[in-house]
Amino acid sequence: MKSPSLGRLLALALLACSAAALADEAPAMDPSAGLEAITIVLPPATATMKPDPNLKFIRETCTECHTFNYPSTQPKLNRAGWQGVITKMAEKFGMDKLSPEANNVILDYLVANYGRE
Amino acid sequence: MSDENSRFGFRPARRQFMYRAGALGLAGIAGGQAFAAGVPRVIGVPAQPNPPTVTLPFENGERPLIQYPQKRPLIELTSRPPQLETPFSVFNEGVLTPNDAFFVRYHLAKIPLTINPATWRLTVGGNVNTPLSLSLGELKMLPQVEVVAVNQCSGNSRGLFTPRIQGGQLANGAMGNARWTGVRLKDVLARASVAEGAVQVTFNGMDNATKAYDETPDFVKALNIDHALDGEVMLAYAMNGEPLPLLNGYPLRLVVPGYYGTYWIKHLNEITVTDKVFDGFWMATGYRIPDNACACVPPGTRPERTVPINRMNVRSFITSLTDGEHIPAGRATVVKGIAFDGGSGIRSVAFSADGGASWREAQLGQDLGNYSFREWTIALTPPQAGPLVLQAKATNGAGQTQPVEVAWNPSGYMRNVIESVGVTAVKGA
Repeated sequence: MKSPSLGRLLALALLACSAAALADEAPAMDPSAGLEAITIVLPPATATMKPDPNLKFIRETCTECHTFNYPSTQPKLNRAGWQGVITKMAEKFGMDKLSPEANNVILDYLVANYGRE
Repeated sequence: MSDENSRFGFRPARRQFMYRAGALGLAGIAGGQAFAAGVPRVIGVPAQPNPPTVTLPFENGERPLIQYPQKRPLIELTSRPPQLETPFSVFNEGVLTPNDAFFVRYHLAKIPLTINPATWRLTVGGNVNTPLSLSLGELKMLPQVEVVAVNQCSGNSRGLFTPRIQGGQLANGAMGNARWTGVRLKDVLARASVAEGAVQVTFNGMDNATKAYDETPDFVKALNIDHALDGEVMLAYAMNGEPLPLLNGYPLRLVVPGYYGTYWIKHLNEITVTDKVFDGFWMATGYRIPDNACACVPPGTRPERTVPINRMNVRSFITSLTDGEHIPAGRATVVKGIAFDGGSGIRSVAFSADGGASWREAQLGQDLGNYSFREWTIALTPPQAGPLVLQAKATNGAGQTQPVEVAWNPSGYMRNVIESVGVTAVKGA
């Protein structure tokens, strides 16, 4: 058996000192209650969007809060139905108010790809 | 495909490996010290280039099966925020739903992806004499309690309504039954000493809206003070004997036995006692039902008066057979299912093999408490070959049962109509 190095002896002594200091205080309570810190990495989003000349604007407006499988999994709504959804997003869910032109860009896209007339 | 990922700052799959390799390297060098310093363990999933799909029984019902961290592949309704439905076959495997199969439902875009229990704190404030900031260790010094309880999404089965209703298009898998372990809300509130004039208690978790749309209402729910103090509402840190999966609310979630999942706030970190009825969006506007006994209105109409959704109604399902299956004629098949309600317990389950014309009583399985799924079984011997319409109908301890006609409401909540499973009896099967 090799004799311990000076450095290791020093480390052991320091450890013993700090352990003794801890023992003088109240018993330590583990704030984490033994639960570990974790980070999860979500899989890539699967939703895809149909092509459109205004796709960039539509995507930036809608997917700030949710991926596009929110609209794409809905039953086929008519124009009034999709307008109701856009209005709900603005009035209830905090989406920035849209100009009439911007509203229609998104409405046309939803009706054309996920709607019925 | 990746265009939507960049919107939320999600790391594409390629980088997941770097992250994991990095975490491994760190753990290799620093050993246990990495944990002590709060360096999180990174949990990813394998790449899923061609996920299998399932088709739910309604228009536009095709969904990919996607594996999320700490989960098996589940029916993906939406990617961000994640909404995952449990494949219905899971409910035939056992009366407790495994953690890795338990459904996931979020509302707001920014969900917490990193949780450090060492620095996490639960604050208790508002109308109390002693505001608190509690670590998990401090919470766990309170008496530990346990309950087996169903958590069911208010909109479970929404996709099955006719006429269809806009919202999350779910089949019957946005529910699950687990053994929850934690502490009583009542004991936490006693430590904070609720002050005179308390009316409600509100619950907020760590999820938030995006900065760009800062008017999105925070997801906060409220219970009346007497409900909050009833000794049944609990703060759970474990589920089926394990820490909560992150996507089910790690490290702590509210458990409101008998109530719909909307109240079961995940990543709970803020409790506030109020001296008036809380008027936040998700109580005052969202998650409301018609104010009548059936919580229903004629299809396509709107109710005059509404109240916040609350206790679950009674439901039952056949789990051992699915539509289109063949069973033997002239021989017994054991049919199995589950039933549950909002807390009065399951008194009986009736079973029909002729579309509801005649009923026989099924045998109830082990009783895990009034808030749990209750298994039931019955032997079915079709006398001859031919199609059969199987139905189950549960009655709860309060004498309430399931309707023959759908109770419709404009949000698609609380579906509990008697469901049918069509099978065919065949000779020599």
